[in-house]
Amino acid sequence: MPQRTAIAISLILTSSLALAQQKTVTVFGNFTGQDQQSFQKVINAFEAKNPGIKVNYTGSADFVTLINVRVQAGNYPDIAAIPQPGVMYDLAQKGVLVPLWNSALTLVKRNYSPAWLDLGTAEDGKAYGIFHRVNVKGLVFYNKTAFKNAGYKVPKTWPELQALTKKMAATKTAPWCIGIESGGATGWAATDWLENILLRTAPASVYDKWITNKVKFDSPEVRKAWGVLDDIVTTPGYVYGGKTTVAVTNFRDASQGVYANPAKCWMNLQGSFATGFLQDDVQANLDKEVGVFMLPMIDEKLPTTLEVGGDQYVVFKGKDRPEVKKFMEFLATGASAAPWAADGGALFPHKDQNRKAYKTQLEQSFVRILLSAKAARFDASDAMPSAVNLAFWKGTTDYFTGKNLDQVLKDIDAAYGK
Amino acid sequence: MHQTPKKRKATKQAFPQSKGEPANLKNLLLYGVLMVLALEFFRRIFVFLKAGDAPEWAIFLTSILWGVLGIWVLFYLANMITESLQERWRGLVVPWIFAGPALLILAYYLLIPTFRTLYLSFFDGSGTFIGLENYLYAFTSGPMLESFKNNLIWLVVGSGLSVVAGLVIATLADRTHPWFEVTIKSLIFLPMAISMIGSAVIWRFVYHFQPGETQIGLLNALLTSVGEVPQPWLILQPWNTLFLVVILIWMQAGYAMVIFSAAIKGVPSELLEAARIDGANEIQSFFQVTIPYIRGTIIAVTTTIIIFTLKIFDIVLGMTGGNFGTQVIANEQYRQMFEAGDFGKGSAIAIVLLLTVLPVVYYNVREFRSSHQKAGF
Repeated sequence: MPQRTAIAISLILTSSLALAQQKTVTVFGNFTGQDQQSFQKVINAFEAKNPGIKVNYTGSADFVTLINVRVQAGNYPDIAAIPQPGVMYDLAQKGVLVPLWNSALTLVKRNYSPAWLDLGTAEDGKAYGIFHRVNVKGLVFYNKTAFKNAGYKVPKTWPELQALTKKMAATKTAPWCIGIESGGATGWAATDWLENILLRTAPASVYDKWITNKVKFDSPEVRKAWGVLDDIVTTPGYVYGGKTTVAVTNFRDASQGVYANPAKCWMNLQGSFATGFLQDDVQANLDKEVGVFMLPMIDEKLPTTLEVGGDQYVVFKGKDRPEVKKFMEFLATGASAAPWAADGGALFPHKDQNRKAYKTQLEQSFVRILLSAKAARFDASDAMPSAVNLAFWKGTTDYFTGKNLDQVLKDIDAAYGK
Repeated sequence: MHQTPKKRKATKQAFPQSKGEPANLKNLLLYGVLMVLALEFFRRIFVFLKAGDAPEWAIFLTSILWGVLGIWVLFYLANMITESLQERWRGLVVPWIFAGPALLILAYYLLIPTFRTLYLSFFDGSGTFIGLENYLYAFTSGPMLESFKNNLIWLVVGSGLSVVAGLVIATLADRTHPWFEVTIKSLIFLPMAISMIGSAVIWRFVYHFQPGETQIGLLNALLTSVGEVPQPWLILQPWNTLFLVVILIWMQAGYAMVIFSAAIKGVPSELLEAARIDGANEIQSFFQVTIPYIRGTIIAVTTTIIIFTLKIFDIVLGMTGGNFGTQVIANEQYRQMFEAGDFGKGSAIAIVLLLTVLPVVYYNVREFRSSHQKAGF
């Protein structure tokens, strides 16, 4: 009797072990919901071209937390889609990533502007990341119809924007909606404001030095940028609800405020991805309802620099099997961009992409901005070490709830340790 | 404990073929080898499961087989090994066969992690040895000082009011009509059935604030309906920590109430009658008779809730994420460890948390023991 049982057990076990030899690629990322459905279409396009390979995507809103835990536990996915270069640098430093192999590297060099290769390169000089979905930041969203009815013109310079803001403040509707509440990531929307202002008040080299801690938070340049934001949020009537409510207002609600009925505000600063969380009826008529302009340069002597963000795909150590490499290389081509572009809410940096795949003129204009930009910088807070990024988020939140700016800057600088 | 003759007979029947005769060496060797093979086999399956490359259903099936049949095979072999031993040895080995796995699991999941945490707390985020620097951070940094202060508020206000509210409700409910008592106690106990993070979600709606005319948050809707100005509750420092503590009381008062209620019903009515005959009024007999009688219960409940509040985490994470001056120790640990990826600082904070809880646990165990000794166990 025991022998028979033993035989049965080993038979079941061996058969399940044998079935495990199927070619599967596991991908872990931070997009969920609608984004996940759109990425699934990218996967479907790949699987249709490569029968025999299956791609399993898992998404979590707590991606950064979970990937750290999984790395600590030695339980890697094959591929991760990392939204923050800072996290990629940390992982590369821990030695758990595989650098891009030659064929992938050639593809990236051919198909992307050099800025994206730089952003995918860690401190050791090796390239690890392939960018896929990206976004443009520093865009001011406004309500086209409302602007037309009020006779407002899109401001081209900072003084024009200031004059317009003043004019708007005299109406019953506030000029700006700002919301930075975002659960555990509360504060990131405010860091976008500061980063965009810094790129418009100081040379890009200052921005680069700021990311690498050669320019402190408590420096004249960063203080100056913070002062510009401070002028906006502390002037009565400039921000809907006033300064302190910014901290408890969700960033999505703030974006929707522009198109609410009655409108809560005239303008909202957000990334190109904001089109994904506007009201349904607005999303259905993006071209008709949504107007966008770039936040104007403040120091006009400086060249225009675009702030961008995005997900880069990396391969984990020991996972560089042929099918994994194949999927990575697919992501570096415009063919992988089309299904998601058609769904909306995302931009792609590939040179060989089909721009007609984007269904709205608004998104096509974003792509034009993205591909024609002479200089681009990645979201600074996301490129800083995780601990500093967290302190930056918390610091801006503290600032909005009334903490003294000197203390806020000191607190964030302290996150670098010694 | 004394074995009855009947039990002794039963034990002998379980191992019938060895009545003090020499060990069956051939069997012992055979089962020993089988045991080693089985262990290796199960280790390989563990490695396979951990790699996680297989389709989900295969992992599912394998882990069930591994768990259920694996335990059975190991136990069967262990039993056969003991049976091949001399009776003298068997007595020594049998307890370990039964208690050993539990002890091993306890060590693996409790002791090793504790010592590993202690070890990790001496390194920085990138794995360089830095001695006690993380502890310097854990005792002097801004967020940690804020956490200590807030944890103290949670401890005093949260645990205190939970216990007092539980005691008052239990006492008052005891004097009402049974039907009313059951209803009110069920209602107050209900929040215990909700997870901490679920409670946080519910209370976010209570405290919700948005600028402008319409307020969908319960508290602000009430305020605006009587013509008051709505308040952003969660950022009103220093009151916001207290608003979070309310959630704990809402959840824990029910637990305290149920236990106290049972204890109060256990107070002998002769004692209370005697007190009344001696001229004590309701309040006096409550403080002089009931409270001393249920002292052990009060200590047990209080220490349990204290431990619970010291490691408070979910409510803060769900409501404010530790922003707006509401940070607590456990949440700061989570933040350092998993969000910032600094296992050194996180571990040091975890150890600090462990150290703050230990005295309470020690006191609880000591009280438990002495009360049992009194009761004659």
